[in-house]
Amino acid sequence: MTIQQVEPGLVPYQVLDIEGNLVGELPDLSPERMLSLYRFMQLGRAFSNKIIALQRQGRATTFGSLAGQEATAVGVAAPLQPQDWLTTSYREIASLFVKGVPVPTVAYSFRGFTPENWPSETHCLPVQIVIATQMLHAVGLAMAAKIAGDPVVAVGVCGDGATSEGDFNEALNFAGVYQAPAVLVVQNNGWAISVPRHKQSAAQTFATRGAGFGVPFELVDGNDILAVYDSMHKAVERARSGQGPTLVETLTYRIGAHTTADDPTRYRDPAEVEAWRAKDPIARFQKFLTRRNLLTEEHAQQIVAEVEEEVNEAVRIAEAMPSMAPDSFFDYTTANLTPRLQAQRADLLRYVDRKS
Amino acid sequence: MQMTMIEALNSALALELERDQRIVLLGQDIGPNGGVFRVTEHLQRKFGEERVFDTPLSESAIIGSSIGMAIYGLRPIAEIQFAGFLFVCMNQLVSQAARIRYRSAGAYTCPLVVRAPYGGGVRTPEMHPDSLEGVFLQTPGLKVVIPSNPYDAKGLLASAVDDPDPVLFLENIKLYRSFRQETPEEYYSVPLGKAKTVQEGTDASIFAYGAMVNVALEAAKQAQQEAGTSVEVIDLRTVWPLDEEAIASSVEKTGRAIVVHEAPRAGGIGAEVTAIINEHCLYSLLKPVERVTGYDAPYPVPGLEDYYLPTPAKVLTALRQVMEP
Amino acid sequence: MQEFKLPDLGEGMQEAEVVQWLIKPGDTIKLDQTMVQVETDKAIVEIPSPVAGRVTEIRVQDGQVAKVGEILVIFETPDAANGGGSTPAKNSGSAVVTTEAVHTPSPAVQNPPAKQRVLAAPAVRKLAFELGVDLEQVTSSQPNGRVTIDDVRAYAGKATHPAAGVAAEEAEQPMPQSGLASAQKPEQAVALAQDERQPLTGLRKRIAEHMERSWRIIPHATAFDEVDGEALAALREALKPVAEKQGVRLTYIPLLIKLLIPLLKEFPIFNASLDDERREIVYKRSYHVGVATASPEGLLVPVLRNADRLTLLEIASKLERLVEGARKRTLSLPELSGSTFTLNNVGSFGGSSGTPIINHPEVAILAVGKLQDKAVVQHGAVIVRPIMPLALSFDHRVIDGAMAGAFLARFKELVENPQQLMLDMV
Repeated sequence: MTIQQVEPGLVPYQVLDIEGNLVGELPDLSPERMLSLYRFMQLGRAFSNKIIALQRQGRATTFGSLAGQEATAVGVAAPLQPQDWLTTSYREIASLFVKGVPVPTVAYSFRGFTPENWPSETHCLPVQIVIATQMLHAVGLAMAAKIAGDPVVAVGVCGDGATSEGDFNEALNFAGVYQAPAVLVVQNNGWAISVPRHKQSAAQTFATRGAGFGVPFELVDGNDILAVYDSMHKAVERARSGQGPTLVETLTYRIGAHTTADDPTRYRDPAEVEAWRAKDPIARFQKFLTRRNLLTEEHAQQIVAEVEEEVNEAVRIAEAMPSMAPDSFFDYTTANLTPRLQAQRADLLRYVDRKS
Repeated sequence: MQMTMIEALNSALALELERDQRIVLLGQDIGPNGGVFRVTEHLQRKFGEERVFDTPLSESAIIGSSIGMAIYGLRPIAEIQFAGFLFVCMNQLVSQAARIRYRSAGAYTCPLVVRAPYGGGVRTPEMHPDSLEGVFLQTPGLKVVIPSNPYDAKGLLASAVDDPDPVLFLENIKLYRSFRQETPEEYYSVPLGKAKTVQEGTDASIFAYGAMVNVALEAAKQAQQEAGTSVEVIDLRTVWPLDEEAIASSVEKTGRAIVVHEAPRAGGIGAEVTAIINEHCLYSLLKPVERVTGYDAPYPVPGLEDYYLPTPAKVLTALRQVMEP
Repeated sequence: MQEFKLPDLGEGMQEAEVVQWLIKPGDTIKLDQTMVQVETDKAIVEIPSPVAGRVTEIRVQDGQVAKVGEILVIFETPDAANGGGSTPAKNSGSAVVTTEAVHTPSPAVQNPPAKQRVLAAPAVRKLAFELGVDLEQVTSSQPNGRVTIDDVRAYAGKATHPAAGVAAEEAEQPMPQSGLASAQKPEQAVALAQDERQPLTGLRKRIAEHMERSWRIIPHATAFDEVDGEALAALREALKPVAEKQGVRLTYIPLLIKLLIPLLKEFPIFNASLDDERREIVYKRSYHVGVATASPEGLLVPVLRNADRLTLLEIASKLERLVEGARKRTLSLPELSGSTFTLNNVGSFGGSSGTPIINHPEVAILAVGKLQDKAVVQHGAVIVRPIMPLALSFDHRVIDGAMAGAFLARFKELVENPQQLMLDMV
């Protein structure tokens, strides 16, 4: 049983079927590029598993599992140029790695601190916790690019739950009205914590909401990395060439819990989870690559071992990085501190044992 | 040149659009209509639709998209049609715009100005006259500016645009056209965070802003005539952050303080000024601090608003009260 | 050996029940290998191993409840100190937070339970405290029973006639300045039948405490010198009429302050403070000059803030106002504190020299005596020159004799050649 509804007549775009057979046109990607996509997916999975493990050991803060959603996470960012912008929620973490944010930097944030060296040149906004707000930021970035005349595209990614927020719909509306060079992505993983897809909206798909706002839309198999890549690539280039925004809905499934504080066995049918495990995005792509002689079993295992070590090393680095100073939040409140804030900072410092 | 506050603001916006190509204006009805109060009159015609443009009716989108534009590198000046509607975009304003610098540890910043008219005494319908500045005392990262006259309005707007962090610029509707003042046509700025002593005195200090400055001055004049009281009137101008030094030195001089504002009393600017006096110069006080404010009830219907707002009579009562031994 | 404690698995959990261990003592375990299932009130959670190594001991058994922070299991790891896999760092690097502030809180105020509190505003209470007036003794002039400032002053005025026995003075001003251990001893009045006792209260009490503290904490050394005041006198004569036209009375002190500022900038240690607790020298970036002034109740040191940013006329007029305010006791607390260097004009009541006591927590104080003609030797001949005595007390913990000497030498150079100020004028 699948809980994804599909508009009669609207078929999710697919390049690889669940067994990894080519059923669509192969996008223009070199073997190296495809292996890189595979590696990023494995990296995303390894990172997600590691942070969850750390949380269970009291070493990381609340984290939302990426399990099962690696193809969307990697696919939304892969076609982007360095100058393009990306605004994401907390469940597309691998997209940040694709855009060039170092793994230790992201790992550091799960220690419960803010990285003070976020590479702003990657044009990735910090992960957004307040649902759907980032979609408006993406549209704003795109509007600015258009005003400035730059060939820059902004991609905003949110989940199925976010589509119910006013900000999501206002973002679509603005994107349409201003023909902003934006791609708005709904990563539909079937669940908003414990609220299933069919209770989030009476519409059969989120993609077709684009029509209501005059925005072209695509429905994509979110577990098919090549389909996601291809849809995104086309949408991004459409935006870049001045043809306006696109709404992309990717159909995927949240294999794990909402976050480390959630227990999905309370509200989900395990059979449903198993059914989706069979559509695992990494396994599918691996089968395809193997059949094409681009990846052997050994090479795959080697990649898995490499990314696990990369993640462990990133955690080592992140845990060795100095903790944020207790008074550091004063540094980032406004550009300059008023005397009042300076006094408050001094007050805080009186309670801090600086020798520790 | 003699200008109303509307004309002064229009002049400021035109100068900004002229001198800095990054500046864009957006909001509902600000294009051909020139804004419901005509503050942006003729600006679209002069600077083009790419730089001055109308938006759909979406406060959250106006602010949210402005945040994206500001991060990108533009300098948006967004208009929310009435301050009462700020509640609709609180999330974008407070959880997002005011926190971008904090959230990214300075990697991204948001130099955004949000303009909105507010203020009572002009018979507007519900939620149009509401004063919200008290709400923004607890939203670190956002500055709040409220000018009381055309000269300051133009100069403060220039400083607000220059500020690297978000600024909420509240414009009193009653003051928009109530009087003209000599205002330079060329560019100049008035610093944020600095109060202004409108009238010096030695017996009592009145702290006010927006339309209440004139109310305070009227009451001060009457107190002077009736009892020879020498009243110091201070226009706060920026209500967050408050000019604590100016507040303290005035109270140290006079020993008596009154705060006047339209907004409801509880947890407002008056409460914060009282706390500041408590912290910095309690031992100068000869009487408790008096607050002359709106009541802790929703802003009333147009037919009753005159009873709600502070008046010179109410301020005069407060003056008499503090002057009593 | 590595202990693993039950962590807070989220959302304020206090304890969890061990459902099932998937390992036992003696097992070899891999990094992140699932080792135990625990049940919180939200869910059953699997905990992976934080290390690769050997299980030596399990502390909480299946079915038992563990509290957050309790040791669950102990491992033996190959390289105990640096750990094979990512070993847990110390407590996520949070700084140790002490709950006590470093400073002591203000003293608690005890009120006698049955009595009614005196009704008086903060400013009134402050004045009463400074004047050593017991508010409860003061009669209120108001129908509402509140004691006013005038009530307190009136009361204090009646109470300032101490009985005989107090030290008489010969100059027009009463004695006290920064504890000048001067040659002028108080004259004893005619011997009385019995000694009179007067408690230290109000301002006198505070002065006494301050002097005790300064003298106790700071090892004082004093350098004595004299400066030729002819150039200074001439300058004052020239400027006095111009200042008067602007309504400002120009005495020597404003000129000396102006000459002092570049000196404090050249010798920053004199504009510093020694933080006794942290054992750090704090070089002040502002220049607030305290000017010791006599008031009817005792010595006060009004402060000329940011003296380096004031013109000579501004210094003179502010100083006049401050001195007036000190005499009348109308100065506020910020005007009486925060100085970074203090100047003491002992010449104003005819004094010449002595050991000034440093205004703690400053590190130096300069006393200038009366400018008067003296006989000096120049080129082998005795001539008459106008001479101003100087006495510089300094904190010998941070300033040595050589530095003090250099300071005084440079000060003399400026006083004798005030035109040098023009070299640095913007």
